[in-house]
Amino acid sequence: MILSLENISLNFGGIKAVDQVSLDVKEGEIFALIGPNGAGKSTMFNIISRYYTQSNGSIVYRDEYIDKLQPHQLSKIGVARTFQNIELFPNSTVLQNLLVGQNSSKSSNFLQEMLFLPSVRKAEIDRRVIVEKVIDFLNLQPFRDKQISALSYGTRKIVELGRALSMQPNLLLLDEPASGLSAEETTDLAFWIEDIKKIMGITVLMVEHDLNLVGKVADRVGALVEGNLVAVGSLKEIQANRKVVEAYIGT
Amino acid sequence: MRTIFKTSYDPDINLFKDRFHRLCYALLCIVLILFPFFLNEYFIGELTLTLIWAIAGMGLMILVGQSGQVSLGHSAFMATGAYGVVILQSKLGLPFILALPAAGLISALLGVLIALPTTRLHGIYLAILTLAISVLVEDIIVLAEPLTGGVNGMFASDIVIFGINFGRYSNIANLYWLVLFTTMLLVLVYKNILRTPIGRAFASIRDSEVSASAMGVNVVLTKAVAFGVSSFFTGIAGAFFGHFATAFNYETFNVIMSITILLMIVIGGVGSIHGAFFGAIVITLLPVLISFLRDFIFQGSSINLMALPGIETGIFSLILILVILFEPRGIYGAWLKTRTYFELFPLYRKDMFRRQKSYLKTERLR
Ligand SMILES: Nc1ncnc2c1ncn2[C@@H]1O[C@H](COP(=O)(O)OP(=O)(O)O)[C@@H](O)[C@H]1O
Ligand SMILES: [Mg+2]
Repeated sequence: MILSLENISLNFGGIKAVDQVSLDVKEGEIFALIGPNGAGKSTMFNIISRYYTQSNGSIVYRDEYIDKLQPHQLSKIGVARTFQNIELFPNSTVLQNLLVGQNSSKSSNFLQEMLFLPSVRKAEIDRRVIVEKVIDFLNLQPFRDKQISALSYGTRKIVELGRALSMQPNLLLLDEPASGLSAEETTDLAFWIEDIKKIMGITVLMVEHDLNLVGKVADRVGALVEGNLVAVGSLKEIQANRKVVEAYIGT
Repeated sequence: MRTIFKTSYDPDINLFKDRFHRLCYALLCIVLILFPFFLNEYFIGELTLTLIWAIAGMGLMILVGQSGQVSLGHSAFMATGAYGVVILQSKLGLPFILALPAAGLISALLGVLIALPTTRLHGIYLAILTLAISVLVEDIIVLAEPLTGGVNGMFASDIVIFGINFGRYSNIANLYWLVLFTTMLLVLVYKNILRTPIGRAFASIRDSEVSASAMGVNVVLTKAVAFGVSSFFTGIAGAFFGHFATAFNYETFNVIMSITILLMIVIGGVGSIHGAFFGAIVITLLPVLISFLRDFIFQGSSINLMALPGIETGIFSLILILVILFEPRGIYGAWLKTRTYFELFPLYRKDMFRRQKSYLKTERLR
């Protein structure tokens, strides 16, 4: 088990955004969370990545409790994420954005960097090699030196995926990676997500509305309705689940 | 238009993109080094002051342009630099060559101390807080009379390094070269920041704190480092400013100075090293220009506009308004556009530098 949520709850005022959710993500699988808008999916991501602190329950990552960690410490243990509403660094180039992903694994401190010691140059090249692999993987070559603010929405989504990949994570959290993508881009995305699992060996936990995409890539699916995890299983099983169907028709 | 084919990652990491760039900057350095042989003492002095302002500008630029924090109190770090270096020299007998970096470090320490408890503050709140702190520093200087000379201020004796005199009034050319050398070192440090993880960490907290922390950037620590580096630079500028002024007191480092440094980098172009230098040139050229206009153009006309009190700040503010309205990226932005225009002639399109729209910035985490 790479990630276990044990009985997680979080309220916003009167709203139970997440209500006693327990969930296990297995090493090496692609787990998709589906559910109507406002079901609490993003909130769960924000709890896992420590932006929100749950009122109840705990999170275990590879046999360790991570409830006490701060968001920036998660990259060290190998958790990376993307955001539902793209959160890139708009005034930097694609390359610079991806290189930030390598910041957490750097071995130099800021004084060495300010003096640009020889080891810093070498580390810079190593970082660049890793990032270039991601650029090749996602076919981002034409955009390498472009400012984020000059890119289309779809390309930005892919750059954000790339930035998370340049962190070389073990667990990747994707919040609605296909929203706003064209059909063609979504097809590419499906292949990439499969390769991320198969070739890079990264476990993926994703939130996605596009059931077509979910059906293609997900090993298991969980359905969240009003903060409750009502079912876990294959997409077929989920789609046949009465509670899930009601929730979707209800909205 | 020059086309560059890249065969290794080194050119992207090197200080200069290519030979042409290296040549340009080498020429610039040579010209700067040779200046004192062609100019009189007055202009060497003005040039020295320009470089000192440029150092201070780079200091604030690191904070504002790179890490996205504001400060309306950078005169405080100029003050700690100036008082620091003179006190270390006169009271502790430290040689200048040690007192200078020490004064920078004292300023950096103050910067970090300010930054750590205030990292949650943004924009206007941080600006007001830094402003308040700089006023406080003025008061502390007056109160710490035994050390700082109180309201009377201090005198800086000549800088002497290995028996060579670098004094403002005894050898201005030497002082100029010393400041120039320091400036070059600091530009190098600034460039190194831009091309290494620390600079990317700065840019990440400037552009999105949320995703900076998702990338493993410790936002609190990075802000403190940005403040520290920024106030180190400004402290060094202050140390030279003290020696350039030779006599100064608490009033030398007032709010006007903080605002001047801020306006300087906005006019020069926020976010670039060039901007700090362009801003510094404007700020030192302005009085020269005004006195020229006063003496030669308006001389004899019934109302001499240039003799009005406060005309300098007036013109300065006017330039600022024009810049913000027409060229938000400052003089450096205008320079980039002009250069691209000629490089791409006749292919330049008018909207090439237009700001692109950004997507959904609200509802960040949902
Ligand atoms: N920061 C917040 N403050 C108040 N309410 C919030 C906040 N974040 C989410 N919510 C509420 O929690 C519920 C779940 O939201 P969210 O997790 O964004 O849903 P989704 O499943 O669509 O990602 C919604 O009712 C939303 O309005
Ligand atoms: Mg959501």
